[in-house]
Amino acid sequence: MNKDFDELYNEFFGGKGKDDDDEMKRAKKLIENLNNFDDADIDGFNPYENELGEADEVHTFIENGYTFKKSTWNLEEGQVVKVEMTSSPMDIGFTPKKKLTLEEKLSLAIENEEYEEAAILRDNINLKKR
Amino acid sequence: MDFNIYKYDKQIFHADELTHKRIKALLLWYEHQAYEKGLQKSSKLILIDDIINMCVKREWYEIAGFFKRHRIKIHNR
Repeated sequence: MNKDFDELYNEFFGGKGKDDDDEMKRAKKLIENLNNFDDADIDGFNPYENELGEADEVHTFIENGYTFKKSTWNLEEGQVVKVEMTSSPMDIGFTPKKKLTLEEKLSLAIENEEYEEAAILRDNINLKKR
Repeated sequence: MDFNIYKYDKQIFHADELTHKRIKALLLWYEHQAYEKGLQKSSKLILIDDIINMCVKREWYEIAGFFKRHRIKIHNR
C-alpha cells in the first residue's frame, strides 16, 4: 500500500506518457508567464501575450461607470482571460483644467456681478498692456 | 418741494476724484429722473440696471459696484 501518487496514477490511467508531461509543462509555463505581470511594460502590455497571438474573443462592457475590455484566448489547455479597465468615470467628459487668462477672469467677474474684482482685473490688464 | 441738486455736495462717494464725480452725477441724474417721472420701485430698478450696464460697457466697474449696492437698497425698501 506504500505506492506514491505517480504509481497509483499509472495503475489507473495506464501510465503518464511523455506527451502528457510536455503538455503539462507547457501549460504551467504559460500560466507562470501570464501571471508574471511585474514584467509588463509601461502601457500594461504583458510581453508573453505575443505567444498567445490575437484573442479569440474581445468584448467591452461597462460596470459602475468603468469601461472594461475582456479578451479571451481559447487554448488546448483551457481559457486565458484578460480584463483591462479602459476608462473610468473620471475620464468621461474630463478636460484638463485650463488656466484662465485675465480677460476671461474679467468676463467671469462681470457675469457674476463682482465689480470690485472686475476693477482689479481691469487694472491688471491695463498694467500688462503697458 | 423741488429737487435738491446740491444734496450730495458734502458727500464723498469714492477716493478717486473722477470716480466720485461720476457717481455723484449719475446718482443725481437717476434721482432726478425718478423724481420728475414719479417712478415706481420696479421702474427705478430697471433704470439702475441700465446705469450698471452703461458703466460695465465703459469699464467703470467701481461705479457699477456702487449702483449694484444702491440697487439692493432700493430692492429691500
